[in-house]
Amino acid sequence: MKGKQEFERKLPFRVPEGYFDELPTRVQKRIAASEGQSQSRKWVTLKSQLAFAAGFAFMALLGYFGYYMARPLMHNQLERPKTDYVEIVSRTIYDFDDIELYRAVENKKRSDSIKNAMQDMPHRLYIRSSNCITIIDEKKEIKP
Amino acid sequence: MSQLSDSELLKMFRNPDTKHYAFNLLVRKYQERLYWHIRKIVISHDDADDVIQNTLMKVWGGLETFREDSQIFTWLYRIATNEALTFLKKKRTRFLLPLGDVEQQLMRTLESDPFIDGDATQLKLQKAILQLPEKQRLVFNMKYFEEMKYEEMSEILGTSVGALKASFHHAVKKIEKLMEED
Repeated sequence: MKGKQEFERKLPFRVPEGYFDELPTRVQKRIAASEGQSQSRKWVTLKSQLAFAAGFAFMALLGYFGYYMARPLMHNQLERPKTDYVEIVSRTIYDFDDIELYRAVENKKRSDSIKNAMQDMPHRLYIRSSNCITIIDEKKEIKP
Repeated sequence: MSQLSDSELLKMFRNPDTKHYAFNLLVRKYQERLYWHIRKIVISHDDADDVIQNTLMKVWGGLETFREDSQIFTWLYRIATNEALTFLKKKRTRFLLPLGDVEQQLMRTLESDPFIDGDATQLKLQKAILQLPEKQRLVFNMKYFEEMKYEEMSEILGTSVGALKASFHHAVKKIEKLMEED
């Protein structure tokens, strides 16, 4: 502010007595407190992580035992398709014709392969076992 | 020991055995300049005390990774300025005040703070400074009271020297006008 009124470059502010002597100590105390806090924060984080891990392990253990307890039941359920086959046979067995079966067996004997036997009578359903073909019924008659 | 250079203090700070001691020396070296810089922005002693402590806590946290591309002094000033401005911004948000109201509050602090006891002219000048826009206020305080170089101010405020000169010029004109009033 040259050429004009030059005000005294003094601030109208003051500080409490001994303020600047005490400030470094106060700051050091705050630093120590914040470092203590960060240590305890780390411990809290570690504790919560441990609790989470323990919970997860417990759930995994529970799942493992649960799986093995339920296993026999699942095993029984896997055998069901066999029962279904029997059901199909029994459901359709009333109009089962022995002569047809005999012919089929004869036909098998004449055929070189199972595939050929099936091609000969495409309207029939067959059960294939290791050494013979069994006719169950005509396709259209199978109703679950 | 307070005569140690900044780079010596930094070296000591990076040594875990002398870290706290070096920081203590650094605080003692710069605390007054930083305090008065902050005080001119927030006016109240209690607020300045809060802001300088927050500033020094940030310095403690960041000094380890401080790259010596710039002087410690300008880095400290930058942190202090940001902390002081953030403090005012928070005050504005906390009390849902419009822009001008914080300045009004700072004016009232000038009259009521127990640690303000200048003469009438000094108080009048402070009131005139409070009527300046934030950037001009910063520039005026740094140039007029601290006689800081424009290059240093440029580094602290992240503004070009030309823009700072223009800001100071406008600030002086406004202050002269305000001081001539009444």
